Amino acid sequence: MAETSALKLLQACTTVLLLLSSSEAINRKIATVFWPNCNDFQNSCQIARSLGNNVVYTKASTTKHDNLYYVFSTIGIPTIVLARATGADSDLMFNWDKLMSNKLENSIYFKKAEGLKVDYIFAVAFTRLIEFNDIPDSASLNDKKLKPEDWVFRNFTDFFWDTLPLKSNENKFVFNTTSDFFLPEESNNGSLSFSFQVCGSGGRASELPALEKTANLTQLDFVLANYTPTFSKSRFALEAVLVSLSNNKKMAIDETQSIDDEYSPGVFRINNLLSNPSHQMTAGFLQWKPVSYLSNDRGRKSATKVKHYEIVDTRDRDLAMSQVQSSVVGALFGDIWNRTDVIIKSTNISFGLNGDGFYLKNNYTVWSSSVGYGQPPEDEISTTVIVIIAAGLGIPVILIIFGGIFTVVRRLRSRSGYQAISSDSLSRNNPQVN
Amino acid sequence: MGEKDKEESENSPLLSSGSSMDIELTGCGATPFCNPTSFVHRYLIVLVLICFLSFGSYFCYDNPAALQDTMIDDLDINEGKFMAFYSFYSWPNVVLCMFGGYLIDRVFGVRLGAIIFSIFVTCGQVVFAVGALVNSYPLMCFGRFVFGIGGESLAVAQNTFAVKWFQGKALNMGSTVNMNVMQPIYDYIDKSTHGYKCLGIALFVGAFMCIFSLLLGFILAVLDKRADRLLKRKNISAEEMIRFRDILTFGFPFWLISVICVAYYVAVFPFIGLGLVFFEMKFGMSPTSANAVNSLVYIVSAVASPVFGFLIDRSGKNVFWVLLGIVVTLACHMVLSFTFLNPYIAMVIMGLSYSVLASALWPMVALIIPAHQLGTAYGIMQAIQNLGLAVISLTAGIIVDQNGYLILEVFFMAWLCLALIAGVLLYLWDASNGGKLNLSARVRHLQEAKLNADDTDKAVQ
Repeated sequence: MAETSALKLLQACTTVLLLLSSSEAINRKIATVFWPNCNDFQNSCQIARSLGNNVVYTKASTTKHDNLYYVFSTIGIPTIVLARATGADSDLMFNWDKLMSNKLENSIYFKKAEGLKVDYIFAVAFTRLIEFNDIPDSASLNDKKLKPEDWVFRNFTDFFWDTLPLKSNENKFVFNTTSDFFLPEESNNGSLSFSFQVCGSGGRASELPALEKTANLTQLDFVLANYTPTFSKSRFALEAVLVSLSNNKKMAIDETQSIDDEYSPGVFRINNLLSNPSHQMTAGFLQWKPVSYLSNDRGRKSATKVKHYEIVDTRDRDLAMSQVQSSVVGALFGDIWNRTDVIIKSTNISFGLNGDGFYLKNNYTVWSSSVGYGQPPEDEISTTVIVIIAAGLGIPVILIIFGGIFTVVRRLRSRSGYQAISSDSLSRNNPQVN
Repeated sequence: MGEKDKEESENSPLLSSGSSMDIELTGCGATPFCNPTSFVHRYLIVLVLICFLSFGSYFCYDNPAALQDTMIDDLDINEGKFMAFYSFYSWPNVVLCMFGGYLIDRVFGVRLGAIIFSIFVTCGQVVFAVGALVNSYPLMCFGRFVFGIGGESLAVAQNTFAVKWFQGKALNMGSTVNMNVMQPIYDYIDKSTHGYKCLGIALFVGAFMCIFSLLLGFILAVLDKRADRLLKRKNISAEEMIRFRDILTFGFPFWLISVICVAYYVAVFPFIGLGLVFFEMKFGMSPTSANAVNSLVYIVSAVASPVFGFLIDRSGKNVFWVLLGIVVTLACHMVLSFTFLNPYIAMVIMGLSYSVLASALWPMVALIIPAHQLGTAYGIMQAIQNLGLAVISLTAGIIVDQNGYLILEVFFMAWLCLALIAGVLLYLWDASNGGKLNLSARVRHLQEAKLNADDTDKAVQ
């Protein structure tokens, strides 16, 4: 046992040292603008505002001109586009006339700068909210027992989003919708929202599942609150589309196990949807832990599962393609139908677990994820745990070793003495026993 | 502990052989079925009765957990109020275990004590059930309190019975069987009571179990009295009366054993309490298989305890087996927390190591404490264990909520390390004080033979 724990400790210490030496934590300066270039296109922008076609632009920059440019938008569907450009400082320019037209191509573009190189563009868009009547309580979209009448699909293009304020410098903002996605007679205080937090340095999200922050990502919370579901056994799912400016054929969702659940109690897995699994530099990710919460306070008690599904080619699905094309994805990627250097895949992410009481239990679901550039952060065992393990296991082991040595030494020293006593007592006992 | 008179009471079984019977048995009494010295009578009847003596209280203790959702919905209470049902049971017991042991040893005697505590258990459960029927939360709490007064003290009485009937060779087996066999039986019956819609009626089923146990208590008392009469078993005489504060004289090894007991048990039972979700989340198991894995420790130990009890009884070396049990359990916790290896194996091995530990640990008390103080000693051990379990269960829940299962496992490992330290100290103390606890069974029997010879000498004088 001493060996095992010593080995563990050694491993843990090595990991810590490696971590300390290898990680050059990048920090980025974050600058966020709501309604960028709105003043230059007063009329179009006014229309956009009245329609709730929000656009938020964030630049996450370093002094070495290694910058990330984010566009968050509800034009068409809720979308995040993330571009990495190096070589020179630049900015994204927004042409609201084009953004409000049918052809979004080139409505968002990089300001000319000498030596600017756009290395990679990546986008995550949410196309549909799926509601299903989970009579078998399997919490799976693939359940064969689900009948056609058990499904309700809502395209995000049909949703009306609250208009963001004209000015704000917050790096945290919410796309919220309170109407239009359920029948008027069922109306209550229901709301659906995507909230974003652009990160410029490392750390952890303050709320469960406390996903790790890096300077290369934005954290995203999806909340579906107080909505009166269509069925008493309703569960929900999101359809997500990933668009990547890369030549790979496949995307992949990997699931990594970790023995350490200290940041998100009870969750031992982390999922990464990788846009380009074999490349580090031309790659983006959507990262989440397979946990969502049925209550605002996000405790272990309200935790339920998140399930993901097979990645399919979106090019086979015209509706989704046109939804994506008419979002800000089309503005930055251009004609995605015909570009051969763009890969577009989609997957579903469903919330719930057998026996969790369905959405109806609290009329609430929240799911957290991160969208970022490069490689997703990996969970490492914290120093706190290592210290506790070292103290909890190391001290007794040391005590036992020293105690053992002490006893052996004492025995060796006093062996002759003991022999005398025991032989004496034996000779005294023997006659009686016999 | 070297004094002769004490060793005499520790090592000479109260039921040593049939030759001590003075009265010639006739009729039923002569058959193995009724003869109190026969194997059939002792094992098939008395052991079963002893086991089922606490069946009712075991059954009802976890009634709230089994009916958690129903209770919270039906009574419209929150989790905190729900957990109070357990607090009301536990807290009085921290004191009452000692008191109960004292009452059994000194005031009522084991037979009357068992009956009185059974009545408390039954009344408590009835009040609890009535409280549910009339939807009165305070009444239910009062019921759990009364139930608690009887519950753990009844376990002490049960233990004292086991010691009385099976001291000596069969003690390991007897006491460990009754400690481990109840949980699987309860689990089995619990499955069929799940369907009850009406909370009050479900609780009355529990009350019926208590009445059943109470009746067995009466039968056991009759058989025990009869055996006392036929075998002229020693009664604890007034001269041997100890003062309550004599627990201070129990000595260093007793307290070490108590430390091992509490530190080990808190690393096993609260873990099982929180295990279900752990297996679901970490190993991706369905609730059914997670439940199966979680109950492995109970099932394995129910099967293995009699076997280990017997084997350890034959081999002696109790301290060694205790240390082995702790180390193996620690290894199991490490496998569960640091790897993703199939938890079935780790849990089965944990069940085995728990059996080894329980089989070796509890009988050690009988080796160092005079028989007439055993009730008090076991009572104190159980009181400490209760206090530990009550506090650590709460703490463990908080740790899981705040820091997750890895930290929880590290916390349990720290307790096992404490148990290990106490075990090593016990070994060191024992080695420097004659090695009595860690004797092999052969040497122990040799000593017993010597003591018996001494007894004969004294009798002649």
